[in-house]
Amino acid sequence: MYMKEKFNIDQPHLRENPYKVPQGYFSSLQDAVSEKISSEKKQPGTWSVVKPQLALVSSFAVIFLMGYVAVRLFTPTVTVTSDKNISAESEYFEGNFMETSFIDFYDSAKDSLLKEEQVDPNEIVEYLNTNASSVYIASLE
Amino acid sequence: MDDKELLALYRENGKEHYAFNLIVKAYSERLYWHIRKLVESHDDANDLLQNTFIKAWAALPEFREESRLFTWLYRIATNETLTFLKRKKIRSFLSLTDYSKQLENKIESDVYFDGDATQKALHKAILKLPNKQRIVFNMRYFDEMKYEEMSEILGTSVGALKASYHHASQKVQNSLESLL
Repeated sequence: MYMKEKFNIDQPHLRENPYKVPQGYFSSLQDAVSEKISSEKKQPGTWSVVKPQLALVSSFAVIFLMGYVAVRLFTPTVTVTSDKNISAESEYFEGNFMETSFIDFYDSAKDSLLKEEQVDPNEIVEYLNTNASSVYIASLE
Repeated sequence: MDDKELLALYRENGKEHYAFNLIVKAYSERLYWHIRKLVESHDDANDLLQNTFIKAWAALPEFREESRLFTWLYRIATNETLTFLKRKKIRSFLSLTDYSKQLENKIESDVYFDGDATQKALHKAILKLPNKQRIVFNMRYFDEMKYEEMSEILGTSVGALKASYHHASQKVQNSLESLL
């Protein structure tokens, strides 16, 4: 019975407000709200931020569109050959031009890198005569 | 000055700021305690109260007096607080922490909580209720608001509110008994 009386939520003191606020909070609240309202006013809205950017983008779009229209209007029309002609051209290209490759233009006889240097046999004999002693020593080693 | 006089003053040319200051002065305390009981922390309550008044300032030109000014302000404050609590709950879910536990800890460590052990236990027990039920319980239990007025603010029928309060007070009573 005692327990029930003690912890019953209908006890009047339980309905009292146990919270506190910092001193002078409510008296300073009006100023804080007024300040926030005036700072909110000064901040530019989303539309005023987006508007100049949107104007820039749209002017670029207009310039691009005008350029595109001008190119379309003033470029001479090129008659497009039919698919048959295109395939004939490609056949000729493959048949004639591609027959001669880069290899065909290459002259190996003129390439100095592949040339074998010819040595005169007399030059060898002369060399052996003058350096015979060093050749002999080299063979002993 | 009553609501009608305040609104008439607000609509006079060049007096809107002065009239709004009077509105803030008239309703800030009641709205603050309503928010504070739901979020526990003074800093959060202060932010939410200021946001409530900023929103009210922005929407006041469109206020058609279909409801009382206080009811309208109370509704803005309640919606702001509910949105805040939802956001906090999602954040604590993502960080794998229990938000109601965090609120309980706030009661324990709050320097601006001056209640005795039973009051502490009562407020902890209230925290165990779902947010909407907590609002109903607080409005009826602490603010002693009429069901009709609560219905106007919360957009719920009087019958549903009575049932919700009945369930909430039973839950709080049971929690309080287990806590003490």
